[in-house]
Amino acid sequence: MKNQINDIKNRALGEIGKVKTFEEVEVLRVKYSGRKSELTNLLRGLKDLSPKERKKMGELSNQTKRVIENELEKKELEIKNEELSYIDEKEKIDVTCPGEKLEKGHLHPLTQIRYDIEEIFKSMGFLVVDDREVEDEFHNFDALNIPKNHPARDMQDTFWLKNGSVPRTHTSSVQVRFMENNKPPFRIIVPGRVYRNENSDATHDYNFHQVEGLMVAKSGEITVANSKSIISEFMKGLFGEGTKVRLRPSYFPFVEPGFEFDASCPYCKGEGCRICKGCGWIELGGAGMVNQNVFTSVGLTEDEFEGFAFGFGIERLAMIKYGIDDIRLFHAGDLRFLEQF
Amino acid sequence: MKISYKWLKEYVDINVTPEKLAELLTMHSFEIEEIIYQGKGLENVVVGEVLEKEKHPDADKLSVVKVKINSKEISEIVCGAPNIDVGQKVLVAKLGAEIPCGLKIEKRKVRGVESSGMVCAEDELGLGENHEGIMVLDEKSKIGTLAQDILGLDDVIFEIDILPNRAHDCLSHLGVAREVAVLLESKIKNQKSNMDLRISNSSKELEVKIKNEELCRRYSAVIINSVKIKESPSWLKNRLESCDIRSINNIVDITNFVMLSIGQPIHAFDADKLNGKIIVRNAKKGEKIVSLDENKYELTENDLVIADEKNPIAIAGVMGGLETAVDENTKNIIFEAANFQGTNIRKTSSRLKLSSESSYRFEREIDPEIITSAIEMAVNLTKELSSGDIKDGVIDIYPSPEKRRNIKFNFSRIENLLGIEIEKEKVFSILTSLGFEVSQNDDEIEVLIPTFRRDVEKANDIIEEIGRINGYEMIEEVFANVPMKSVIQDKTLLMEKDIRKTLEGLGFFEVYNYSFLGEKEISGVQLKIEDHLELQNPLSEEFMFMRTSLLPDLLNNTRDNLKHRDSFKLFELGRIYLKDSKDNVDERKILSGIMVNKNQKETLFYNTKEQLKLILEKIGINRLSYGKIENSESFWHKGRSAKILSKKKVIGKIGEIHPIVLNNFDLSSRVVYFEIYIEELVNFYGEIKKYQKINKFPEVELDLSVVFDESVQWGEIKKAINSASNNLIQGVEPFDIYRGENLGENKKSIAFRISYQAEDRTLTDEEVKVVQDKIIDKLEKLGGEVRK
Repeated sequence: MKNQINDIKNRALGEIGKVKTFEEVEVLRVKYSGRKSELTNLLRGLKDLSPKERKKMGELSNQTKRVIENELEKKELEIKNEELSYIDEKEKIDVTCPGEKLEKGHLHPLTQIRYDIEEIFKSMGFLVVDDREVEDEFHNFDALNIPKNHPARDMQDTFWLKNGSVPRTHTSSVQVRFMENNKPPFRIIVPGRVYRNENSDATHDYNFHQVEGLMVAKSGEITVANSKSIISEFMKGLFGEGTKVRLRPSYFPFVEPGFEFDASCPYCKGEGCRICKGCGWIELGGAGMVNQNVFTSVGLTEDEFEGFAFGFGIERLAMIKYGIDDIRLFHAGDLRFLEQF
Repeated sequence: MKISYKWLKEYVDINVTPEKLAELLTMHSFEIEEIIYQGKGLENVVVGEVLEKEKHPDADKLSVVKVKINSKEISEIVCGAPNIDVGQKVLVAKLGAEIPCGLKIEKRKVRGVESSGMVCAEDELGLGENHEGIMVLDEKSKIGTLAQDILGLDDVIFEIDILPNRAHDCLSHLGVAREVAVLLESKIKNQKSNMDLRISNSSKELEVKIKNEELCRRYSAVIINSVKIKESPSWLKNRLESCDIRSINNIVDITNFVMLSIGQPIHAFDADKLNGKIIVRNAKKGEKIVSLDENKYELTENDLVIADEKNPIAIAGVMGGLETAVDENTKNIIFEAANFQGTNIRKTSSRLKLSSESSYRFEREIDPEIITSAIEMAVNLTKELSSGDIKDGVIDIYPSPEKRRNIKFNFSRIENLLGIEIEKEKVFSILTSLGFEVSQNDDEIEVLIPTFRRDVEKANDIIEEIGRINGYEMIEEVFANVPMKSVIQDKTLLMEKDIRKTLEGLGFFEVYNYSFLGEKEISGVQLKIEDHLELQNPLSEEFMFMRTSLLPDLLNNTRDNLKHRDSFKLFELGRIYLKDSKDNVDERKILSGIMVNKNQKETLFYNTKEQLKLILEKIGINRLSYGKIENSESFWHKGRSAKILSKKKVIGKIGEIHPIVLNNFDLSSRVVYFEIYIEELVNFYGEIKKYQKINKFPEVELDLSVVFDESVQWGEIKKAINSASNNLIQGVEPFDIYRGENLGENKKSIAFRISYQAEDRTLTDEEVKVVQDKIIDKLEKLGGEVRK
């Protein structure tokens, strides 16, 4: 019997070694390990053996069965792996074909730049402030040291509403409102929409956006040197570490001294190129130390505080940053323009 | 203003190039917007004499000329000009010249004959339009002279943006020269004054009366007899032309020259055309004058005029009258140099829409002290260029002379403001060079301001002068040493940013539209014009009103973009400007959006609604309900629109736009529009989210299909279902709506899935059945019939 069992085992292992499909494995399973298998048949003869022999043969046949079943499983896995090894080729697809089209959203370039600017100033402890766009004369002009009929009003050609209100000509009006309600020290920036009564062309529009900043503290605690450093940090944040800033004398009624600030051209790094018209600098905005008359107009004591203010147009920054040549595109709602940002 | 480099040099020695000077001025005084090199392109153009002329052997219209261009050199040139002839003095562009018309002169063959240069016409040199023939010069012109010299085009002109606060003293060559002198550490040259004019407040020949001393602080006049009116000499013409002022005759040119020199406008009257004395007075209502521009102006009592005993003879400070103007027959003139109040001149000039070089300067408040030198300069020049003599002296009425301001401040204030330490000697030398008188008492500095610096009123004004002349580039960047406070950013702005980010993620495009609308847009969306704030001075009809809705321009955007694509989503987050009952402005912030998709008809509304729900959920608004929109806004499709409520507050609206409105905007696709009121959302925003335990017990899902009348809305059905149990129903979602003949007319069958779950146990079939039966009961009360 022992020989018979071993014979079955050898045959089984030999046949298992040759098969190649699941079906063939299944046939062999029936033949060698099923209920009607040779081994099962053979075991029927166990009863004729002595108890000692019987136990011995029983163990041998069980062991043989386990070996065969193990081999069958191994074979099955082998066949499965063999099949899976072809799947890459079999299920190959054209990866260059597009999938279901998704429309990606686009924030307006002015929003993007505005948020960039806000993040830079927030990191320097500035509060972002927002307030009304339609103002009264006091907040837009008088409080900012622009008295009635002053030629300085020439610089800002203004829209007037029939009820006497003014769509603000600058976001400086918000400075006034903020100072009416908050005691120094503080540092704020005010982004927002402004209005100028001028015909539009490639570089002018009647609606545009400004960011204005204001930092006020006790006299002696804040200087032109400080304002230069804030402007410079801002410019570095926007255009990169190596950016330089220069101040030039200028005049705005609400500051004294007044400056314009230029940044070294981000394209040519100050070498001179088409963008900066060869001079290496780009004019970006106005700044200055807050005129004491502005402090007194919001009820602060003259000479008790000093502060600096600065302002610039967001459109202009966006035009420089993205190389846009017509300001009117910002308000045209053309998706072919907007999808580029 | 245009400032001539050569003219400046008459006031101050300049030892730097024009470029360097422009840079200095830009960094310390005013921005130089442009440097114009007058003779640019004429560097290699010289005077030549035509020695010989022959016909070109192979071309009828060309000639070959020999031109002597200096004592040694003769050039052979092929020339096409019909007017060229032997003996003429002409302008020759030498080999290597790049002339203003863009041509580069090289040796080349013209029809087989070599040509070495070009004889130039006016237009080729950028001097005019003329191309009739070559320019023929005065026969006395010296061979070899540079064209720049012979044409007087050897100047450099600066286009300077004079700052408004310096317009009173720097809209003149003397004013700019003073700045230059400070920057170059030089001095203004002494102006020669070779004549003694008698100045007094009365004169035998001329009587002057100022009736309004507030509007006219000073009035000076002088009569010059027997003048000869003629063309000005070329030096004077060149000076005026360099500042873009046309030469008229010697007397008028003198007035302009004085103004451009020192900034004081002066006027010349024909003395023989005046009736009696000069009176400075307010105009009478309705009084008329024809001014030098030959227009007739009607005046008001607010306008100041110069009058004789009969009529106004000039609109004070703005323009002289035509009747008393100097012309070629004038023999005796009166020069007027006066000082008028700026605000008044400005009002008159803007009301009459009449401005002049004179009004431009007076509006900016000139120093009344400079009148004396203006008169003196005018008289000197008149004697030089037009003979003439003065019988009597100058009459000068100046009731309250200008006083010099005195400003004191502590020396430490300079460093406190500028953040840089500047030595006392440096401060003194800067202020002194600016014409300020400085003295010192311990730590206090006292500055006496010259009358021509009307802008310097306070300590900070003086510190600005010190700072800019010393140079802002000298100031190092220093971080402010200010106490820090924690900054809590504005909730609304943070929320807006979140909303924008969500919209971006959902595939929306953000647009910015203008704040103004025209009547066409407003009535296009059936809003009322009278609800809109109107502009006094609109740019055009399209921009007459402040918007009360973002819809009109979003519809415009939609129409324009549908030309290029079939579906898109837009939004704008901006302000609308409402009008309250007292006509005051009531600004609101609003989020408005549009979805359009040519391929979606029935689903577009629901798609938009789901996106909007997501946006609101993102900022913490979870429970929404919908209600009917009131009739007042008729742009909505009434069958497909709803207001959106949360906690009983209307927070927005959503719906299709009515086809009538779409037609007004040339739109044929369905458009779903929504608007959300930002102010209403802020209270919901920023609530801290509470963690809820994750439910581990299994969920049971059961489907039901119920037939209802068409009029029964899903909202009611859902409410009925939810009312069947407080805590076991986790969700209800409809998945199919069916309509068909077998259901009968006005019936629909809605299939939905209900999920049941308990927080503390696995539900038994019996428990679920109890709730399910209760639901069926509720739905039957709504008229529903459960399909089996």
